[in-house]
Amino acid sequence: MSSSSSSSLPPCPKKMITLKSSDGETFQIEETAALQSKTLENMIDENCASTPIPLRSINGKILAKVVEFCNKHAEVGVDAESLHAWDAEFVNVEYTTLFDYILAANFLEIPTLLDLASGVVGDMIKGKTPDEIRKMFNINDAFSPEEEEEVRRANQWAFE
Amino acid sequence: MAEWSQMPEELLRLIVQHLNSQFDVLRFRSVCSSWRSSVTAPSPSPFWRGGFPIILKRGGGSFNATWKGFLFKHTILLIGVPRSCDQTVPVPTGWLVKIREDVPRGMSLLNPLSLRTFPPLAKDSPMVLDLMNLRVLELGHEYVLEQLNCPLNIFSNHDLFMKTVFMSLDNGNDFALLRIAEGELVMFKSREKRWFPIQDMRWEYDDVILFKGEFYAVDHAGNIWVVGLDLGVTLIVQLYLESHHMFLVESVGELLLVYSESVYWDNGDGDFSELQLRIKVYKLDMDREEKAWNEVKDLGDRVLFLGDKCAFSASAADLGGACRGNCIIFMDPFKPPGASRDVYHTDSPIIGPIEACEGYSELFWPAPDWIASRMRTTQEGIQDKLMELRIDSVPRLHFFSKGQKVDEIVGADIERLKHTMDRLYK
Repeated sequence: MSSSSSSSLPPCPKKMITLKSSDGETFQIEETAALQSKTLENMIDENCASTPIPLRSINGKILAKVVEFCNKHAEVGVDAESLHAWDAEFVNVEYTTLFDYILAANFLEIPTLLDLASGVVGDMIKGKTPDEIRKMFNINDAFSPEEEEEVRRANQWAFE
Repeated sequence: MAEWSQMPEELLRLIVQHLNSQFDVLRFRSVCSSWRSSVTAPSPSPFWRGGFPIILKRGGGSFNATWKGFLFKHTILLIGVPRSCDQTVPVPTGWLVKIREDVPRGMSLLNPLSLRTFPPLAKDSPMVLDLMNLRVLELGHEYVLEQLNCPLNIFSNHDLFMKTVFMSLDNGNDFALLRIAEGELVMFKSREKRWFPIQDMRWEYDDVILFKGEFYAVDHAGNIWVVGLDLGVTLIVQLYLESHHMFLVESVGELLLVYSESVYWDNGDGDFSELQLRIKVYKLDMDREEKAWNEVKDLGDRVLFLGDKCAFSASAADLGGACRGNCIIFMDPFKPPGASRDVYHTDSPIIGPIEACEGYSELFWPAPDWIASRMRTTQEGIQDKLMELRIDSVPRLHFFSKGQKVDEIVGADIERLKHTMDRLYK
């Protein structure tokens, strides 16, 4: 049986990297797109990227989205306005997913994603009361009595 | 499960970097222990308390005498009640105020569109507002120069079309001011401690703004310029309008130009012309190589506020109540400053007094009922009074609705109890 690989090769082969999520899913990403991650860039530089790169802290669901983000941001010829709209849609997700985006972007060192996700969290906090923020992010931790008193005092606003 | 309270400190600090108001940082620190310890408390800005000393000099260089003056910072805030999870619960109209932190006992309140002070919230004692259960959204700042012992009132901020914008430099260690006075621009640099005239001038300037870290100025013909710290001006785009007056205002990251012209209206009987105001809004299109002003027909959810010394914008959803967006609120140019606020709806080109427009007039003065119910005299004040009267316990009533605390009253204020009961449970 003769191999057909030589005839089916694309004219300009793109170098692909394989990423493996914590739950064992594998994802293919072009090297040029992967270079947005400093962590992956270092691995590629050190020639550690020939086998699937295991990312033990990122699950398949999140890794799929991160790969999608890197691919979109590596596309050429996308104008700023439409990329902005795409980004806004990308972070229009549940708070738990945003949390995972931030951790993944931090681990992989993708500054654009880290800035986008932390920025949208900042925007959600703006103007709201501490109680509203707690409910939004499902935070139930109590303050110590001393802190409680400090917080109470800091939120008192004296008028003439 | 995402544990937001367990998020690593450096990531929490990244989120805080996106909060640009000290109120939001204060709120962030009031959420939980780990969030609190991840960022330091915003400093109470001693820089601004009591004003920053500055040399005043008249723009244009024709007047050389100098006086010592002060630069004051005012903050425009939208205060509102927390939103209920139940979307059908109506949101009361927010309260729009401007604060100035320059009085020893606290801060004073000003009309957000002028430099007039609001009357004190309570007649006799200093009051405290508990922000724990109130939304506070920072909408903008204004900077005001005031002189001390100046023989001529040349720095009267009540003059129309005098405005100062502020740019922080070198991580807040230095700053620059761009001031428009009588159509001319002058720049102050804190490092050099002096004013510099901006020489390059084609027309009289109408307005100045700090937008995306740069000073912008619009002239009488609608040309927009970037004013550099090197005192040079760069033309960004031309518009060619015959203007009555131009305002620059930022709205969700866009630079808008509000252009108003007065037209004489012949009402038919030949000898009487009625003065009318026509308003148009343009958006600066920055994305293209060739920058352009594009007319905006619909502001959507946005409401623009054009004050004497600063312009700002808000979303109708944040304003609450019956505010429905797509309108411009400004001081009537045909009445003395501070006299009236008018409202203009871009979808129905009608200008009318704000009192006639449901939802908007409640934004201003007097303070809404829900503010009054959250005001207290200062703790010290209460304690002195209690000591004096030999009272050692005071009732505090918590009001609940649908399993959530919605209000509280300290003391036995019968009127307020009645009012609150009626409001909540009737």
